[in-house]
Amino acid sequence: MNKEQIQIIVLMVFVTAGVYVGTILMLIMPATDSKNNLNTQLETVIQDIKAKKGTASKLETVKKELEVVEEKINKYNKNIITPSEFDFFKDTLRDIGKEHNVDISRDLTNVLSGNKKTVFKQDSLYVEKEIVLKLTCGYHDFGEFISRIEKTTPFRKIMSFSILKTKSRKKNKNLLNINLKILSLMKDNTI
Amino acid sequence: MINLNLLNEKDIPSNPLSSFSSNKETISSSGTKKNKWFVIAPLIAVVIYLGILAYYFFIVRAPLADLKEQIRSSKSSLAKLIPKAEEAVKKEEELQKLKLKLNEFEEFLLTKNNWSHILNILSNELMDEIVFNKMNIAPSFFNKKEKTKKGVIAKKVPTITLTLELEVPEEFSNKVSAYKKKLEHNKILKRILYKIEDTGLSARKNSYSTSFKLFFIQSSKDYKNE
Repeated sequence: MNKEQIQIIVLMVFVTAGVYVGTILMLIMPATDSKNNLNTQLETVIQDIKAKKGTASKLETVKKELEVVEEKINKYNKNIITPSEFDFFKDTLRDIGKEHNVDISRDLTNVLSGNKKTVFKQDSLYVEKEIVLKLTCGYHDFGEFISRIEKTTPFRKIMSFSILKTKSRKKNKNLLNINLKILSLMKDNTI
Repeated sequence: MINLNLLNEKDIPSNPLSSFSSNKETISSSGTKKNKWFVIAPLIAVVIYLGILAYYFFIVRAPLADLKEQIRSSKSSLAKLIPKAEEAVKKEEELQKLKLKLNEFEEFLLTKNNWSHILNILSNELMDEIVFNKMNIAPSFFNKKEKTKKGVIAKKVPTITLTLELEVPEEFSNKVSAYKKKLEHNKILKRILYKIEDTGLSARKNSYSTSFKLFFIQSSKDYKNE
């Protein structure tokens, strides 16, 4: 084989290789890239569909659960007192005390707000009021008095008390000095 | 310029006939082989190229349209699902908020103690000889012991503690432990108490004094079974 033949062969090899490389670079690679992109897109969309299907399938269950919870809350909202009902309770507190031979010597009401709220920490629609009482009465009279107070509404409870025995007696009963804290929940007028 | 004259004049013998017989074999074997490869090699190259083109058209390019169609139809199903999923998310958020509110209501109701009833029990079980001087209730914490795989672990739990200060005449000092036992075995207290602790007797002038601490389970949902 002479030099010119070799030159021609080499040229042909280069031309062929150039055509191959050109085809790969200009046609196959862009098409492969776009195929891969489309595959990725499709995979993402399919995953999105799966996730959304999962979320959407919960809708009916969530709706049912929501109904149950709403019903319970509405029931509680019906039972929780209004500020005017609270004022009425406060007005009649001394009368309740008299009925049970409990003498109320001090009566304070504090509105709990912000960090001091103990029940509805985030919900401003509900008001918490703390009633601080100083009482003098017999042991069992005190028991009856607190039982009566707690029966006035489910959303009122005894938070703390301290009882100190005194030397005085009334109607054959040992008298006690009692400090009592009651927490009363009520709805705001807006509910 | 490339010289395309494949037949070099120098290669032609002066007497073609005389040299023909001697070069006959060389031309017929190596020349034919070369000619063969001049045909086969481009053919192979063309076949390979056709293979590349076939790969491009049938394997790479053909599914593109199908993929695009799949994406389009998937996107349209996704678009139909989105409002439903968004509604579900909204409802779920609403539910969580309401659950929190419901929990607050229930927590309040579950942590209510019937104090008048408890006061009755404390007084009914108390012997006439023992008198109480002080009593108070206040929220605090109790070190509840829990059995785990790692052993017994003390866990701080919220509690309501009732502290009872008693005065006991000297001759009845032995009745204090009996009172404690009575409280511990009371059907109702047994369910709602973690523990009763006592400080032991401390002597006064003609009597003894002792303190009881009753740790109440805070929530009625945690009350012990009978």
